[in-house]
Amino acid sequence: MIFVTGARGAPKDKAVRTLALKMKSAGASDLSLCCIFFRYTDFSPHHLEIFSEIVKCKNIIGSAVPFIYTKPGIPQDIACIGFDESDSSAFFLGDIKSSEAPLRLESLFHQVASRQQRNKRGLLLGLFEADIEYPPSLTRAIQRAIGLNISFIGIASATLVGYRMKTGGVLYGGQVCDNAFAGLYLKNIRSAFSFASGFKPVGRSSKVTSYYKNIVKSVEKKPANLLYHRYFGPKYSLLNQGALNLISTLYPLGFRKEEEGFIIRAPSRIRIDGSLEFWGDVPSSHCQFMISTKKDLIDSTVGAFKEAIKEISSPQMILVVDSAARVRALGDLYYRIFDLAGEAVGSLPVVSIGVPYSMGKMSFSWGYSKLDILDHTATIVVLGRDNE
Amino acid sequence: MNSKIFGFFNLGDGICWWVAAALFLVLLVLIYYIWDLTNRLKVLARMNKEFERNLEEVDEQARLVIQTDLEMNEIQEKIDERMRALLALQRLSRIFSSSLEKEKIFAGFNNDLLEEIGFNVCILVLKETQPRIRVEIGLEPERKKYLEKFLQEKNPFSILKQYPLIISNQNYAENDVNQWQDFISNNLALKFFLITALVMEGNVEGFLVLGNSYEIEDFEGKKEIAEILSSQLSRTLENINLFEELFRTKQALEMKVQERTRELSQALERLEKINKLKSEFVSAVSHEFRTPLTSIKGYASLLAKDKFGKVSDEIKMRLERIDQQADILVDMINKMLDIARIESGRVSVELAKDDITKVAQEVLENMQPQIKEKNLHIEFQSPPHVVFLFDKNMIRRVFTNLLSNAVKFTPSQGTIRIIIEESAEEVKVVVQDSGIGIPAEDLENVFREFYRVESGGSKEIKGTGLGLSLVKNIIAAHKGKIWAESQPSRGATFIFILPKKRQEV
Repeated sequence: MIFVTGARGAPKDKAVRTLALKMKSAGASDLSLCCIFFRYTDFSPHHLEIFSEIVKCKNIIGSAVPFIYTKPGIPQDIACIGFDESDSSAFFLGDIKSSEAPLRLESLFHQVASRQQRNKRGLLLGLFEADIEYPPSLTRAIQRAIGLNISFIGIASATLVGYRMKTGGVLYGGQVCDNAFAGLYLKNIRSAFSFASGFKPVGRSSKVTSYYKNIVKSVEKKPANLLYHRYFGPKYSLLNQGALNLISTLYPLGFRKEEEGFIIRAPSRIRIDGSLEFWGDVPSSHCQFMISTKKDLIDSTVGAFKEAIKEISSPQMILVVDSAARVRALGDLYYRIFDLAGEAVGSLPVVSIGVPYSMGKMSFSWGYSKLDILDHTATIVVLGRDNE
Repeated sequence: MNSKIFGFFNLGDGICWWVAAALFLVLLVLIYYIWDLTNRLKVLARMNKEFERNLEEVDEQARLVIQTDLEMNEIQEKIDERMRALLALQRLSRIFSSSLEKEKIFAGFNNDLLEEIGFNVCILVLKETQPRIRVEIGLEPERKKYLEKFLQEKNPFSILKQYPLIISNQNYAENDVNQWQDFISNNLALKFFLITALVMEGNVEGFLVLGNSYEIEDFEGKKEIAEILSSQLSRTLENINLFEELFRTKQALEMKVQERTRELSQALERLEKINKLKSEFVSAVSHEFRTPLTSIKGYASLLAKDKFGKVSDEIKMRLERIDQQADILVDMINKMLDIARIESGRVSVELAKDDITKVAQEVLENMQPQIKEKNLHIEFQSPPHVVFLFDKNMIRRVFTNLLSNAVKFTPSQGTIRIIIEESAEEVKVVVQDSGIGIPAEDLENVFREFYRVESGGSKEIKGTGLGLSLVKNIIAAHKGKIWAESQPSRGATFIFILPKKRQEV
């Protein structure tokens, strides 16, 4: 069984208690695994104690996210997904900023997977702090660790305070840990993925003349930041060097790839030399400015909902890991997604969270063979029971 | 060989020309093609230029679209930020209005709320007996010490009276304000801040510092939010102060009331005790008076009837006076005894169904000699029978007293009016005379024991001063009420009401 609840309100203790009571009244009093999302960063072990007094759970992981919605599009302060999977596991990796982290993660997951007799299916849900130095290294480590058959969705933990991103720790083992990765491996969960962005190219395509990993140094032989200067004009000052404000994230760049179309990347930082830094690696040498309308954002997500739900015969819940910029751009209109996807979703519980960026794009049912950093993309994961 | 050559030349002379002509033609075609290609290239170059120009135009339009979209998003962001701040302010206002305890109000400020309002540092200082930091968010302990020291050394409240709003990026002529700006910027490491005075009842009673340790843009919005917040906070704290003052006054008042109530109940208890003692004393003494009075009356009567030998007419006259005075004394003692008995509860009202009209008529009948003597006119208005539960003997005494008073105080040929009215609930009796009346200041007192009106002609008219007191006691014993109305020289009216429906008295 998968249990889903959300609660809102202050004080936070009260919201956590309400959440736990809702879980209990839904029949979840003794769970194997729980994943809790907090809309604030100052969650603490005290909140976990309150939750555990009401709902017993062997492993609880959690993180901060800027936006939480549950069907039918209600903003929440806290949400929980509970699993009674007795043979599934949670695992933990500390100090993901260390250069040894990928190796340790690989060996850690192999231990978990061997405990599960090297099960070839299932879903891995990972939570990690958003401000890691070079996220693609972690993506590659996860790729190596889990192979090609296990689906993965990774959530970068942080909240947004005004324009600023505020990172929060990851909850694992009753503690809030910094620079950590917490994973839930759900052996018997079958999942289907679909993706939506709603961004469309605008203006002329530009050649990326110099780039390395996740840094674009020059476009059309000029410093990369001039691309933004060209399109923003006098409003370029909105892009502060260092941390970018939310407005800039509404105008990402699309990197054209023959087979996949545009891969969207929003700059996470403008360096002093004018080069642009992204969360994920630069996928190609041709980029174009991207723009979206509220309608496009909604329609693409609704379409993705409908696509994903078709893939699973006995769906139990839908987890939407959305881009914080998309959720923020939609504002109060975000609930329209749930309304419009209502027919496809039916009575299934839905938890949608908005995060600065996520990791995903690997699912056996969808045939993706590569994990990637997902910017400005809603990843819709339909979770169901594997009956085979 | 030469011939061959020449032969060939000769033979192929025509061919040679043909080849030359063909070559020339090819050259011409080539020239044409080159010319055509050049032209095409020119067209292509022109088209390319055109395409580039179009692309540039499209890109220009894209720039316009993006910049317009950017502006709209920027406006939206500002609106969202302002809305978020206002919603957070609304939440704070709810906290402000839901409590009258300062500590709860201060606890309402927290990191999340402050950040939603758009600041990450908040310091609230209240003047109180000495300046005290009551709220501190985002203030490191070391920096707090600097601020405390600054508060001890300077008097920021006087500056705030003149400048109720100080903003970090504004210039002020006052040196003290600049010093304060420098202090906050440097020691509290704030990139932007506002200091707003908390004005309560016209005095600066504190201040609020709201600031950001990072760069911000929307200065006007921040100013507006800070002003709303400080105004709400001032009003709330002012209300709390007033409430606390009111509460303290109320508590003091309540204590005083309790003390006075205790004193009063003690005095009442003492009075009741004294009254009871008095009644018992009056009852005992009156009872003791009756035996010797009966003897005096008896012996006076025997003497007057010459039972102890013949006495002169003059002595007889004196003996009759003794008899009359003894009667007055007996009447007074009887009344005192009755009052004492009723007051002490030793006499119970014996209720029986009777006709009050009949009782009033009987009393009037008995008083006919006095009425005729003064040639008084009697008006009697009553239903034929008014039957209900009352103590006949007692009510007879009420009528006797009221009517004898009316007769006494009404001059010859005056009018006495008796009105009896009946309703479902009660019986109202009015005894009205056309006598000298009672002054307004005496109306309240006429029912007191031994009280006599000393004004006008009342002084000459004799009485014990006990009759109306007895009447009031009887009416009270019937759970009824009696009062007097009068206008001087226009007579007095006594009205009493008796309840009809009752199970017990």
